[in-house]
Parts: sequence; structure tokens; C-alpha cells
Amino acid sequence: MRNLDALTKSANYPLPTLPRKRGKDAINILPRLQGRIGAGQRWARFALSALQALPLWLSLGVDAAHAHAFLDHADPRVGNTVKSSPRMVSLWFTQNLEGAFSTIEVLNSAGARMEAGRAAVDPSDRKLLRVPVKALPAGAYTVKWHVLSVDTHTTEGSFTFHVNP
Amino acid sequence: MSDCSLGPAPPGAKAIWRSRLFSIFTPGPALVFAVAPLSGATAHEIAGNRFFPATLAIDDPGVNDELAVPTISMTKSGDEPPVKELDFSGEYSRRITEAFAISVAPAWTHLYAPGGPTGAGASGFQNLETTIKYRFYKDPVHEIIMSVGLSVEWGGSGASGIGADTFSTYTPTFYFGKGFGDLPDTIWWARPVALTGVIGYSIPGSARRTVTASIDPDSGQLSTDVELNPQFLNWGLSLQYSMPYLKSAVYDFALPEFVNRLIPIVEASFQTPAANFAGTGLKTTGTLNPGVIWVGNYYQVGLEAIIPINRDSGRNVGALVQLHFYLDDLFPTTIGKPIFGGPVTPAKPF
Repeated sequence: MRNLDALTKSANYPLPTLPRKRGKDAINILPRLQGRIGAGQRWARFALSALQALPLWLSLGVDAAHAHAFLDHADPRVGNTVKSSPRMVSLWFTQNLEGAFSTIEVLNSAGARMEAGRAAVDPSDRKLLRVPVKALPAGAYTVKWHVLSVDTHTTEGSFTFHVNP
Repeated sequence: MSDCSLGPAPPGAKAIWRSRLFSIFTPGPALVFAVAPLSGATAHEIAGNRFFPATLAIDDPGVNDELAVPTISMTKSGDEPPVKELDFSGEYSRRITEAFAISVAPAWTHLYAPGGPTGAGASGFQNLETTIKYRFYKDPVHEIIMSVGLSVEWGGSGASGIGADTFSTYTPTFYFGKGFGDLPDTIWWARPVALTGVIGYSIPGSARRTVTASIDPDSGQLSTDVELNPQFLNWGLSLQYSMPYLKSAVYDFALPEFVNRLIPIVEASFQTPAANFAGTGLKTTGTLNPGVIWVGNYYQVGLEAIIPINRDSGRNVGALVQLHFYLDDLFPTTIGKPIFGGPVTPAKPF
């Protein structure tokens, strides 16, 4: 939007001088522009109004409860090395999960399953899925997850972590 | 329309990819360019670990329920003198089935003086564009997506004052996306990289050449108006580095949450004349668009610079900003699911 000051030079739209704005700051001058665009340009007004409604959409994004569930973080952390075998592998997702359709596999470098039980959603935090694991000797482990969010979107992924006492 | 002089090159925004109409007058040759949007459905897409965001300058391979509004771009054409152009555009994409969608993309353009038929500037809608897209291949393991589509720019639906074509243009297109999460451990840092691309061929629906004879009111001489409607190869790439992918699938550096939602990106879009352009002097035009996309759970915000690759592609650096909503996440039970068939729900627990 570095050329917005050119609006002031338009013969059809004689506008007062606007300060040159760049990047994020450019959004701040949109309300000022809205009142200066020609009366026939209703579509442009609508577009600017939609942009002004951004804070409302932002709040919607924070509070809404439906979306694809993506991995937010994990314990052990993705790609990291822990000094001792964890008792559980815990995954926090961005959305609430349906426990009956969500699972975790923990595989050693030979592909052997290392879970000591079934993955379960934490009843007090439905974004948390965890599975108990056997004592893990030093090595690399692959975690494969496959989850169903409460709005029936399925997602899957994998990552590794290392145990190195 | 033959008197208006508009920007010769697409400034880089998806909604302002253009076909061109060239008029050759005798005596006194002149080039005239017509504005016509050429865009397809934009959609985020997921393949295994990989989240492909909706790209701004080129179409991405995804098929989904989405609303991109507004997309705002400011560019300056390569004309002499150059014409500054402000575009507001939007796009609504709706899935018919899980892998098949249709989209509608209106765009409104304002040309500053000396653009427009009288040189005083002009405003109006570009031709409406619709796109159907079918995702025919998805490999979650290797993070590959491929789709095909057909875009139609409906001639005569836009304002002639901004140079909207009076004829329709058809563009069959191939889309692909590839994430590099399957790279070996030795270059683990490159796993967040993804590449998407598009290649389409725009075919004007009118006769390839129109010849009109008339008497020049000034000179009294017979003038011949020859219009060429060239065919173009529209192609582009996007190179992305996904911080969300880095955190969730490669290495969690415990970076701030805002940073973990960024996808730095460089897009490139080009238009290469392919047929029916002899004598016009046309050459490949395009833009490079470095920028960044912030990805939320329900929407994304993208900001890119628009850098012309040559003089014919434009002057100065333009800008492009877009707000894009994921309707499949916002409204999963209504307008965010396919009309026929819903989200794929497993029949039994994993």
C-alpha cells in the first residue's frame, strides 16, 4: 500500500494529503479512505467495511469450537531429546477431540509398537490426547497420531523424539 | 474500447490475471489491453502433516469451502505513462462433493488518471469469473495434491470502461502441491518447505481476429482495425516455509505462538503468449510476490509485495493483502461441508 498517497493526486477524487503508510500501519488509514471513495463505488465500501470487521472475526476465531484439530504441542516436544523414558506421550491439539476415533502409535526405530495401553482423551481437557508407553531405551521414536475433532474433521500426522540418557 | 489504454501486464494478484486484446490501427499503430480477471478456486488443503494455505497470487491445488474477502491490491502498469490501479476482489468457493468445488470471483477495479477511455480514470467491475476444480489425487504420506479445473471469464459481464472483454475466455488449468516432509534427516530443516504450482492455457472464446473498416473522421482515410485475441500460457509457483509444520512435525523450538503461525512465502506468476500474437511484440510478463501468511484456526491473513519482472509487467512495487476465511471450519454443518456427502467420518474407531 505504499502508493496510497497517489489517491491524493486523482483528478476525480481530490483528497487531502494522506501520510505514507507501510505494512500493518496501512490498515489504520482504511477508515479514512472509506469516506473519500466515490459515492458510486459501493462495492469498495463493502470491502472496506468487511476489513473493518476483522476484530469481530478475530474474536470469533478465539471462541468458536469447531475446526480441524492440528497438533499444538507435545510432551516430549516434537523433535526434541529427553534424558529419560517418559511414562506417557501427550499431545495437545487445537480443537476438542472425539476420543473413540482418536489414536496414537509410538514406534521405535524397528517399527515395533511401544504403547503400554490405549490412547485416551483427558476428560478435563478434551484437546489433550495421551497414551502410556513402555520403558523406552535410548533411541529415536516416531509418534503417529490420527484424530477426529468434534466437528467430524479428521487429521493425521507424525513426528519424532529421542531418548538419550 | 479501442481508445482506452490500460495496464499491459497483470500486477500479480490472482484476480487480475488477464487476457489481452490488441488493436492495430492503420495508420498509426496502437496497443490496447483489456482487463479481465482470470482466477480459480482458492482453498486451503491438508495432506497428512501438511497444511497448504490459500495462496494470494496464484491458485493453489486445494478444494474446500472458503471465502476470500477482501483482496486488495495496488499496482502500477507498464504503460507509458503508467496507470495506477486499485483492485478490490473476492472469491467464494463451495464444495459440491468432497473433491469437487465451484467458485465465483468478482473484482472491482479503479484506474487512476491517465487510465480509462478518456484518460480521467475509470471504475467498474471486471468480468465475472467462475471456476470448477476437481482434486483427483492426494497422498498424505508424501504430501502431494493434484487438481484440474476450468475457469471461465464471462465476457460482457464487466465494465467496458476498465477494458473488460466482450468475449468469454476459457482456461483449463492443472494445479499441484508438494510438501517436503519426506526429506531425509540430514536436511530436516528443509522439511517445512512446500511447493505449489499452476499451469493453465487461456483460450479466448471469440474469433481469433476481427477486422473492421471505417473512415477516420480526422483524416478522412480508410482505417482498418485489427484485433488480436492471443492465447496465453498462465503459469506460476509458490515456495513456502511453514512454521506451523516446523513446530508440529519437525522440531518445536518453543517459539512465540505468533511466529509459529507464520508461513513466509514467495509466489511467482507469469503469462506467456502462446498463440495468435504475431506482430504484437508481446513477451512474457509476470510478478514475484514475496510475503507472509498468518494462519489461524478459522482464517488467514496474507500480505505480499508485487514486484514486476520486467518493464512490460508494471512499474514500481505494488502490494497485495487478503483476508481469507475457512468456511469448512467456521460452519462445518452448513455452508462448510459438501452439498453431496459430508466430511469423511470413520465407520469405526481407529
